[in-house]
Amino acid sequence: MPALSKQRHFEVLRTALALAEERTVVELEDAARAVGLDPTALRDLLAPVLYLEFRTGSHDLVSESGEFLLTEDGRLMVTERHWLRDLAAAPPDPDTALRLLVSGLAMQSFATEPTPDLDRALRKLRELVAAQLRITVEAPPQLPVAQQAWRDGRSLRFRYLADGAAAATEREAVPYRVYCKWGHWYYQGRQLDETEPKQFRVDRMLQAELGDVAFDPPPDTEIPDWFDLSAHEQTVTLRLTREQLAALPRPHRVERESPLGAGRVEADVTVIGDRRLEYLLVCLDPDVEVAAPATARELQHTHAAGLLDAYD
Amino acid sequence: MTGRDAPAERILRLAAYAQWKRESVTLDDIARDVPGYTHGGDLVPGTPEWERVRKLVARDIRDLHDHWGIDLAYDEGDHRYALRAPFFTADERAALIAAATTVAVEGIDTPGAGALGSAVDDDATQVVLRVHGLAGTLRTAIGTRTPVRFLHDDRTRHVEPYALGTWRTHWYLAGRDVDEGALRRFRLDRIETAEPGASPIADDGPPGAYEIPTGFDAAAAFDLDPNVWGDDPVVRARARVDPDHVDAFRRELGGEVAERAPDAVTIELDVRHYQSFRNRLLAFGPHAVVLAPPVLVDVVRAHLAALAGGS
Repeated sequence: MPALSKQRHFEVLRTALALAEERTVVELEDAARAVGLDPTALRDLLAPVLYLEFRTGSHDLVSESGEFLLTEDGRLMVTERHWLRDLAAAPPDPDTALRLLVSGLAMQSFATEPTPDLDRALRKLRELVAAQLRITVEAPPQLPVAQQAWRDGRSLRFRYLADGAAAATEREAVPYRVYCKWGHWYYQGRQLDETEPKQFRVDRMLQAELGDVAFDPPPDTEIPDWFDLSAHEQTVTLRLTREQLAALPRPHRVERESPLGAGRVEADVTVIGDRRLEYLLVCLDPDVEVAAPATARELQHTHAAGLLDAYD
Repeated sequence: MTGRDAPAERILRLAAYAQWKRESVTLDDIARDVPGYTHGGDLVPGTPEWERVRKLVARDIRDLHDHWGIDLAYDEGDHRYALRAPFFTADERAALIAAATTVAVEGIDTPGAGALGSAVDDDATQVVLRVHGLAGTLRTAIGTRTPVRFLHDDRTRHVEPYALGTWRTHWYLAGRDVDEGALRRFRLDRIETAEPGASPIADDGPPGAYEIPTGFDAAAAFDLDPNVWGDDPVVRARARVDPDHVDAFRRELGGEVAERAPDAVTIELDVRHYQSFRNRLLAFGPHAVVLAPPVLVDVVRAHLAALAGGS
């Protein structure tokens, strides 16, 4: 293997040893892939570092080999502490500090047990970042049982109020993954009578309990990058003031905005689904003009009239 | 190059030795005990060999700091080297790694090799959070107490930034609007770029130009619920809600269950912002109806009548 620069040598070691600590154990092959070397080359680089030798004052040879371990079957692990990181007196760089602070604050916000070690670490990071941050991740009531279903490989029975539905329905689904993204917790699961998994918002589960069906969650289930809801998009053209545009109920997307003069604009506003369109239209101030399509104007009138019936 | 002669190994050996000794060490100790610095006999200060070892140790100490964050500090007084205390304890570091494993943070530059939390297992992620792209710049401004200016809702704002935070799914900056002389919140995704390619955030004064008031409450600053800050006369509202929609209603508007019947639940709540209450109530369509007080009923009825009667 050609000689590595000191810089590169350190980079390889830092990465491999971080993997060993943060994943508890890492296959040498995976670590090698992460650092862009072949496993043999990585083993050669690691071996001397895993058995650092020096002499005591009485000239006894000491080998500091207790902390990292490279097993015979090619797995790298930190047996007790990552002693190099234990010695790190320098604070993390600003981006790392901000990232750790955000993840730590989020973790703190939905922890169900005291977190004294995290609390102390976050106090240090707050001083370092020197910017007050408020991060919260709300945990809906049915989250613990949904997570237990995923953890234990059991189906989940729940009453579910789907988006736009008038009433909840009974469901049972086996778990693929439970995750939080875009501010909501999701139970990714396949209903017993279906073949493909769906995403269920945990905050829309009115009641939930463990079911009887055992299921091994697929290990390679990933958190989706996005949901393709484009088929449900509805766009209306509105004429309104900028303040009215800023105050439109969310979620929505402003596709186009052009000035009309006198502080008014014309904007194309897109929402997902019939219910959100009805909601958008019925929240508009009466002086907002629904310019297009004509069916949206009619929908606004009929939906408002339908809701008004409850007040007569 | 690997083996005893590789600088990386010599440098890490120095760190391991300093840790093992648990007390400060001299240049002589290092030269005698640590392979890579080892000298045949005693070092004599001022000799070329002493100077060579001293420079080598000084360079390696810089590398330990730069690459591993380890500070082996030299005391000019007693000519000894000692490790500085770690920034995080091992338990604190483990807690941060657990947090980074559970909560993935998007939108911040990729961390450098080996940075804390950089190597966690993506498969264990439970929460994905996205940090707005301007958060890093504003964090620096807050940290250095540097006023900033930016374009927000077509107006140039001059702001002393106090804090960053989230409400619902959006990132906000809280700070003193210098022109208005009052605390304001600015949604980061509404900060616009004045010129293509230019940074949307510009310094608007020197660092250290202001102080964050001691009474500033970040938690309160980012509670953007209109029903908290609204200034309409407070009224006690009663709403009838279909049973299946009660949880969502209370999540959105708060309130307590006052009566529960098989086909409807009555919820009571204080209202400080009538228009916001009206709009949030309408999100439930026919499944939530305000019953009292008359002033709120009139707000909802008049609004719906105006829309229903339009042509």
